Amino acid sequence: MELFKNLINWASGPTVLFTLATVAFVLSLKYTQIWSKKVAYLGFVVMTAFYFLSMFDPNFYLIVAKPDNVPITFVLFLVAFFTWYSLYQGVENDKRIAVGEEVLEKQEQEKVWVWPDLVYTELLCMVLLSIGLMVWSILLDAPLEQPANPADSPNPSKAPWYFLGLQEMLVYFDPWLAGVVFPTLIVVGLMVIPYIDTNPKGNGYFTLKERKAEIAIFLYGFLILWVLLVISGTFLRGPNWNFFGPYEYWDQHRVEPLLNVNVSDFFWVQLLNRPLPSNPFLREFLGVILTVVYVGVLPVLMARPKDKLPGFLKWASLHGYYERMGSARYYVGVSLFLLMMSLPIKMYLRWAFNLKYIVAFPEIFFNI
Amino acid sequence: MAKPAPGHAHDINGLNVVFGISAIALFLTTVWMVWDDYSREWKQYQREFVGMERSLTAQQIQDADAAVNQRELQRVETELAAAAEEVAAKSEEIRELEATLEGLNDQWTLADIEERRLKALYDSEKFFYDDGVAGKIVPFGKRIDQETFDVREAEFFGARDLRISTEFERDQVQRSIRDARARVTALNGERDALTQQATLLRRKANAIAVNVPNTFRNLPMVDFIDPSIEVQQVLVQNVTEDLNFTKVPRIDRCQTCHLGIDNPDYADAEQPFRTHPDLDLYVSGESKHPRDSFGCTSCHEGRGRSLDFVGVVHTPQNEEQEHEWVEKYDWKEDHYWDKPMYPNGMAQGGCQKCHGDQVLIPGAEEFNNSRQLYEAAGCWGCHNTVGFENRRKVGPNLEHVVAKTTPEWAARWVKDPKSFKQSTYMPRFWNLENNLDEEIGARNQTEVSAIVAYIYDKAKPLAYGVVPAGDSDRGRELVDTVGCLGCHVTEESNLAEVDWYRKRGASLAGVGTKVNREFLYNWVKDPKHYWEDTFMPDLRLTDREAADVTAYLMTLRNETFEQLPVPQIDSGALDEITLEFLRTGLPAAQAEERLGAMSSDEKTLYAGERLILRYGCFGCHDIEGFENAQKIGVDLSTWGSKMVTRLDFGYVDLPHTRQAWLENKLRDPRSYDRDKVKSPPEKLRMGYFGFNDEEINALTTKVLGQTREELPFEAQKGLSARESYAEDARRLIHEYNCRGCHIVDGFGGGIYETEVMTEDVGFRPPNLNSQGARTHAEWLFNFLKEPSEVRFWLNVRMPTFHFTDEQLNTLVQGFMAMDGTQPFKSTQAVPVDGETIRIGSQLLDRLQCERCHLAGAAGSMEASQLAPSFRLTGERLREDWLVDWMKDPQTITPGTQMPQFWPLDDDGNFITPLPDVLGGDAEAQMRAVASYLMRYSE
Repeated sequence: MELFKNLINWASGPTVLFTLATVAFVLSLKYTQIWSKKVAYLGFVVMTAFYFLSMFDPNFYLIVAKPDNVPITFVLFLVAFFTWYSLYQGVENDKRIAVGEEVLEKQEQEKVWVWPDLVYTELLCMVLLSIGLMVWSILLDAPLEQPANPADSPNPSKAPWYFLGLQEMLVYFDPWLAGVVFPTLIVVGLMVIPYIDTNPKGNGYFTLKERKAEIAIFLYGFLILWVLLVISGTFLRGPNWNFFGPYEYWDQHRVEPLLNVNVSDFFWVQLLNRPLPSNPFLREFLGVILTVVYVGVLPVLMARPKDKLPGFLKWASLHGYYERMGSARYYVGVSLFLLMMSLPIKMYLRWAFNLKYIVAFPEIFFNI
Repeated sequence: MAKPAPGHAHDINGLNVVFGISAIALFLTTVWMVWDDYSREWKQYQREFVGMERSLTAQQIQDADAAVNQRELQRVETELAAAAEEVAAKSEEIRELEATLEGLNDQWTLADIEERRLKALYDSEKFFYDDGVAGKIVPFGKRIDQETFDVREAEFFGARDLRISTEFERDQVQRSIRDARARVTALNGERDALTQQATLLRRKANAIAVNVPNTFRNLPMVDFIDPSIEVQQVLVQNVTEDLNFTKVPRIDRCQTCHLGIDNPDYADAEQPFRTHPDLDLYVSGESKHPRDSFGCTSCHEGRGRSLDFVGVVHTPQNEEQEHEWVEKYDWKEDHYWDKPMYPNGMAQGGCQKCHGDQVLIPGAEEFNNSRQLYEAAGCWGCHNTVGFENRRKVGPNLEHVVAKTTPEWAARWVKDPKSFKQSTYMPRFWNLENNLDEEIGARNQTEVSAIVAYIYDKAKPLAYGVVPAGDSDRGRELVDTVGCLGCHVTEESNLAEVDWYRKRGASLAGVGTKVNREFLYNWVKDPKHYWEDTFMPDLRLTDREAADVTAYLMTLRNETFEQLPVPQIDSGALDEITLEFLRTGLPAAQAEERLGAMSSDEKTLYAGERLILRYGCFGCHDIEGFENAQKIGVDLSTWGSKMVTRLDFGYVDLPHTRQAWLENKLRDPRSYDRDKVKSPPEKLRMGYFGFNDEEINALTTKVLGQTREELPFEAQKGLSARESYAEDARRLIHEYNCRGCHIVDGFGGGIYETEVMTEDVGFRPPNLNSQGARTHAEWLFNFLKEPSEVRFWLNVRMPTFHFTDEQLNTLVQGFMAMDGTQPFKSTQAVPVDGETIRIGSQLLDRLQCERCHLAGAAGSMEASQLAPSFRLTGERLREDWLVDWMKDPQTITPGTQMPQFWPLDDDGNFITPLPDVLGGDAEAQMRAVASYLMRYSE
């Protein structure tokens, strides 16, 4: 049992959890047959059993049963259900399309009666939700704490649950990026989707095959880079923002080494074995070049056909998209995509090399 | 579900079923919700309490009925019957009067209406008439000429006269009716007064009776309108809740459940209904801390707004209670409230929030004890604490220690002070959980030796002459009688029973083992030669007496201690320690080099100095070289507000509360190092004091009460100028331990328990009650400066404290302030004639005062029967006080043998034993005696 708990604790560490989730995500889109009812039932049973049995662990119970955290458990189940539902429908439809049948949505009626079909079901929803809210409010007290005390900020200090993804980004990026630029780009990016997504398929029906890239990109951003961070931020980030496994006690005094270094340190100190140059531009030249390549040169290169690219970059060619979307849509889309991917890239750099900043100008509070 | 009918998206019959089930579920949930509210914890308590109130009131009604004076009632009722008959006889007349009254009432009503109508018109017309006269423009139709106005005025005043005259007439008729019935009314009043108590109780019983309206108003769903079961809260304007960005008045709802808190009838009730244990001081409206001005949480802490047992943050007293609460109330620690309630018995820690300036807080014995312990144990030597600034350090000055004792004794002592004497508050720093002798080898010994070596190296010797030989038996008698035992004990076999004040000076057990003769002889003669700031006074011992006392004290030895091995320096350990310190500022190679260059003595002194700095010896002792060293412990001034999350519980399994942490720290100061890997400099270093449970409890009370909370000025105990004088004096009285011998403010008299003074209470030093009112300021000043003989038969001596003039004035002013008098008073305002003096002298003879008030030579009289000579009276005592003393000696000095010659009778008048003198006027007789005594001479 202890071994199992330890294993789960290990698997919940940021590196392992994130990697496992990414791998599982990729595999699930490759082997689409797993989006079936059977797997869904199985998944539900396993998840519920995991939750139920884990409740016997005092440390797990302590965190999960906090009135603040109860909704996150709902989120966990609901997100799983709706993801499964859309992909299940999509896979079903793909099968039908493959054999030339109508999609499921086509079989549904176009129009229903306001009374009783609409209003009656709305009333039912209202009644059931009222029951749910009343029972909830009777059983769980509102998680009110004492008046805020500036001399004693709670440890861990957590954002509301829906912002925990942002807070997680703050671990890897400077506040102006994680707190200002990225949130803005997320909103803007979601707004421009209709203008850069020119794929007409999947209108009015679920499908996976016909929109695989679009769905993969969106779900990666939503599930892995947002929901997963919210969940781990809620359940796994403890005092001092340290990571704790679900069965670990949140010990205030636990110490994690903080030895993060910048690209400039790697280049000057470790590679050339000399102190950092006093001129900040000289000091940071490598980081600046890397950043410019990533946001400026890479999209241009990726737009070129495969045979015009050097061997190690051939796999990244997006020439087909460039042709199909036109240069404007292509550049906007690719820039947004690259910015999204900068989060996992930075996370892995941090875990692998303790990398703090690629470009660091603390003189002007500009760090990337 | 069946397939939907054509044209429908759902099967409607199926939906009907779902709807039916959900509707029932919603209904049941609503019922559950209402029930959940109806059955809240505090409502249950209120229901239970109403039941208790009902039976209590029923009982009280019975008692009140039984207590009614039946004979008196009978009499009143008989007379009432007779009076009623009288009224009946006059009934015709009364009926006529009543008819007249009715007519007059009608008349008055009409007259009043008419007057008001005319007044309205008159007021309005007067306004416009005035405007017209003043030449202002008056609106059309509003102008009034003088003639019309005069008519109106006459009309109005006419109507008013009519109303007044009707009123006058009516009053007369009413009076006649009342007079006719006067006797009945008076008797009715008498009867009501007799049964008033029972009537009031009946009214109360009615208000809480089980009846339809009372039941209805508390029913679920309607109990929001006007329930009798409701939250009881008090809004305390003066005591605020600090919300960090603003302060709001506190709202304490404790009485919602603690319903009997201000009702003495519930002294034995089960909690939460029990009465407050001290209603004279708290809660009740007449007390000094009424609930409406102070609330509850200002002293007890906790979350006053909450309404459930766990939410108000009750704190269990011990684990047993915790288990009980967990079982009963599902109790758990609340992390979301920084100020948990003090556990039962520790609430007095809260007193210091408002009464911090007072030396002894009246009524807060537990707190006073805890603060005295905190002070005596020298906690503040290492831990900065508000209220303990600029104090003399608790341990002796080590400047001349070389003249006092040997380094061997000092090393054994420092290693383990309690092995020398149990009573010491000097803590032990070595051979504790994180530095056990058997685990770290010679290191402990070496540390001790290095420290002692440093101190001896800095100490300056004193030159003493030859000490004359003394007689230890005579010395013993002197120590037992002359007053040493007011502050010291000579043996430690029954320390627990010894009065606290007698333990304030160092215990003399084993003193012969500790000090050398020359020092002791000079010390008892003049303590200040060795230590300027000592509180030890000078008993004016003669050379021979000092020699005798020295001879006796040198016989008090601790032989077990003398056998203990003397800690020695181990050169390996010394190198290790020295190197550790050198390494803090130097790289390894250089440190090694420096170490190699040091001689053994240099290493010892260097290590000794650094070790003193580490262990903070200078917190309690003056040591040369550490005059400006910083206290080594954390500041405890606001420790009671420290976040629990900032306390390191290490691997000790304890409830995560401040209280548990602190109690464990005091019991076992190094336990939080358990199972941790630490180098010597990182180890915890608080010493082990060997506190018992009671002491731990007291110190926890004190420290938990030291909070960051700042109560508004209005809520605090502000000292008046007079109270400040008294407090300044009390501080000196406390420091110099006057209570070791005297009773001051009702406390003290430690020496009374010694053998000599229990055998004959007449040998006790006097009770200082009313001292300020008793003596002249001048005399008191001189007496405190250089004590002179007042009670010739006493062996115990008032010591010479060598007070400065400032201290003397503080004491004199303070004693006066305590008794509400001033230093100077004019002499008797009424001129005294020779006759009065003569009568006074005569009375003195007749009352045989001088049988006890002797001038010397006690003869066969016992000490308790002796009294001071009258020769001193004029110079020493105040005339007013003499009269007070004669009136009631027992109140001023309980247990005195002075007879009360003028006792009080039942009505509070003095009865004179000599009715033939001064017309039997007791007061005048006492004055005459006092006047004579003030002029007394033989």
